[in-house]
Amino acid sequence: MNYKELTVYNYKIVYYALRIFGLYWLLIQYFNFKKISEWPKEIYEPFLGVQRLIFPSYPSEILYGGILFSCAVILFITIFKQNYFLNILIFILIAIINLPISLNFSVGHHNHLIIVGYFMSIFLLPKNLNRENDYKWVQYFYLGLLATYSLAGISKFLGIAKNLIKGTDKITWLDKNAAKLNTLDNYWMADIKVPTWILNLYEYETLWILLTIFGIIVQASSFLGAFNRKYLTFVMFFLYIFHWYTNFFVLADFQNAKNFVLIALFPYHILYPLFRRYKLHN
Amino acid sequence: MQKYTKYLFFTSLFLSLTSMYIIEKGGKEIYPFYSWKLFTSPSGNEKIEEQYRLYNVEKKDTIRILYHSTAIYDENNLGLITGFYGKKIEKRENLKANIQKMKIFMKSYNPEYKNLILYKENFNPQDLGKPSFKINKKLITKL
Repeated sequence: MNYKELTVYNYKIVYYALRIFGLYWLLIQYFNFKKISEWPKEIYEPFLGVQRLIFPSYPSEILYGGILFSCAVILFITIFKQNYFLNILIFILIAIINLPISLNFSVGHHNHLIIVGYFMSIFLLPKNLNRENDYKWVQYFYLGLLATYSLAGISKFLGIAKNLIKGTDKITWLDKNAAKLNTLDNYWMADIKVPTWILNLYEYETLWILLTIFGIIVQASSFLGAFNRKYLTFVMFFLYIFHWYTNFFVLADFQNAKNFVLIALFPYHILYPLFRRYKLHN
Repeated sequence: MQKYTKYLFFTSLFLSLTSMYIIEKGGKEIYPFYSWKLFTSPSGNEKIEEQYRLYNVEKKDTIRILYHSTAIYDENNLGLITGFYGKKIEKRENLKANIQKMKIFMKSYNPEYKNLILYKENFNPQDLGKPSFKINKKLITKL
């Protein structure tokens, strides 16, 4: 397969992977919902106006369960019946489902990538992707996902530039022990003792400066993966490891985003010969 | 229809950049899009960092309440909620109601915390992990 073909081929698998992942994600949200349901009713603080509008109080199990269930049914139907309108519904429902889970007291962004993913895939139905230049629209799908990381990376460059130009005494990512400070501060705020193995790793001070700069460059340039399959696979591994790092070293739990990156960016075409052989042997 | 994916991308990008502008002006993001301005500098990049913390008076001792994850709260939840009501109480925003909420919240964390005092702590994050690390605290109010 050439680049154009394999890009479309990969998306056709992503389409189905997103349905299965979606069902799993809904289940996780149900458990999160149950946990927050145990909080006293008085301390529900919707952060955004849209949340206050849709859920003026924390939703009951029947209401929230009903929304979860309808979303699950639609995801399931779209496995067999590809439909633009149902895709729009999925996007809206997933955005709504995330509200009471992630937007109490502040906005948690660990599900935003997933919501953007369902948004970007609204108009991409495998059955209609048969023209030669359809790979372009798949590139936009990747671009939509990766732009979020690129914005995060570029804003780090801007943060560094701003502090250097203004000559502030703030620590920037270029400073020695910047990553360590980031870890210590986040652990301190959460009252958790920093594990010794993490402190030991931070003793390689120069290595961490290089790692940090490397990380910011790859993060900022991750959008380029939309145009090059090999770079996309590299970005996939990078983002997976990056999320793993933030989980252990910064206590930022992007568990679902991490899995989503794997599912959406995976080079499924490398398995193509396997699929074919399997079919031949049947 | 697939060609509209292009417009979805530009919509998403536009709303992200708009969110960035609005947040910069002190507003809030356009959900479910976001500016993605995360960790532009490391946490603890300034010389002084502030944090609202609750203390509990037990007999004659004032003990700093620590965050331990429970069945319903993790450490980040505990820090976030304490900070949220702490700030409102300091600003005297709906003072009575927010003190009440803070108490209800603490009760659900650990019912033994009954004599609460709210402090605003400040410290130099760059001293974390060093012997020179020291917390200064400012009394906000007894709850």
